Amino acid sequence: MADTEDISDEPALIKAAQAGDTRAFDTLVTRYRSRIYGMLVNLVKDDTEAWDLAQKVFIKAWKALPRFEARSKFFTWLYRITHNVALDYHRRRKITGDGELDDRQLNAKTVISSAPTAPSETPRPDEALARTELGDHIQAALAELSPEHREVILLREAQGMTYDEIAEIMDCASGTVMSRLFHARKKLQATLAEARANFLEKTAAPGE
Amino acid sequence: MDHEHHITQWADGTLSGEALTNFEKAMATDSELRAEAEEAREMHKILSGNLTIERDIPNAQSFNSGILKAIEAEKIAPFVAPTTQKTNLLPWAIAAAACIAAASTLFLNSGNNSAATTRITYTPDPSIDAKVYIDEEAGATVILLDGIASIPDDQPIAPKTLISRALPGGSGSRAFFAKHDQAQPSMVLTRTSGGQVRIQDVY
Repeated sequence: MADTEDISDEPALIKAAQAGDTRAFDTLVTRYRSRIYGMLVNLVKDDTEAWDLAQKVFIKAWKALPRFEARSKFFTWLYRITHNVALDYHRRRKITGDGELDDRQLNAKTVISSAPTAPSETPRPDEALARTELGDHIQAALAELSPEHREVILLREAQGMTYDEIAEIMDCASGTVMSRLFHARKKLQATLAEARANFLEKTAAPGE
Repeated sequence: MDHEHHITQWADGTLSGEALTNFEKAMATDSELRAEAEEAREMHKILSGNLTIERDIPNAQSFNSGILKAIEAEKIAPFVAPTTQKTNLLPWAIAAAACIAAASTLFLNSGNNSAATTRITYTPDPSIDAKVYIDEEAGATVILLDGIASIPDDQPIAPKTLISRALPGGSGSRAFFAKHDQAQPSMVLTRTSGGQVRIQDVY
């Protein structure tokens, strides 16, 4: 659902933006705004706040752009700023301790239950309903995870980021990312056991 | 720990080469390990097929125009490295940051202050004169200090939370960043042509 998927012109856009070209930067904003906004909605549980914070992310990115050296992907770098903006938001609101995100802040209903990896053909109505129900269960289960586990799941499973990219964003080792994924999946597995069974039953092809 | 890493990598399909061969051999002889790994892979498939964090942004045009307006304003913001004389600012910059710590903490949380608000400053050394004002155009609290003495370069300054970096251009100005967020400086220090220390808290 990115506004523009063709990223072949991205290095040129970044270079132009670094030189002060606001139109080039505007194109980058358009390209990444839905991902940044969506991530923030999940992290701060408030659409309006997420909208404001997403703007803040891009303004910070503009300020920091001269120091962007393309050692990482642009959107990974942008996510790192997003991660920090969300942490700052929670610190300032004094909702959490030691800058950690609060589990209660995840808006479980804001994660869209359709994904890039889903089959492209239209699902049967009963399958679509089952998928929506499973999506609701997943979101509820995510809300029960610790902030670190939730974020690592969102970045890996929803964004398809590599361990190294997630490690860069969350400022930890890639081994820590793998461990967090391992434990987060274990917890989700336990929480979702019943929902998964129902989903598999409902989506089984007729006659199976 | 390797156990956790290998299961995660196998579930994600990122385990390869000798590590993959060894892990598959281990699974062939350890049914518990195989079950655990297959559960992780199944969970990965379910999650990646049902989660996305992208959302269409409301009022998209207004969103972009608000950003452009802000960055146009940023172009004239004075925290961009000035082109004044080259000076080694680190020693007194550290001193300045240290001596106004209490005051700057007060201002960090005062985003809605108007220029008319009375500022109270405290400096441990009475020979240091501090003046504070809001620079509305730059969206910044500015603190001017007179009388800062040099202190050694190795003087610690909140090393766990703060780092400083010289701004480019050879101006001698230094930007201070929170360690967790090095994308934007929290504070920039420069010396004015009048020899004062100019501390700008960027918010």
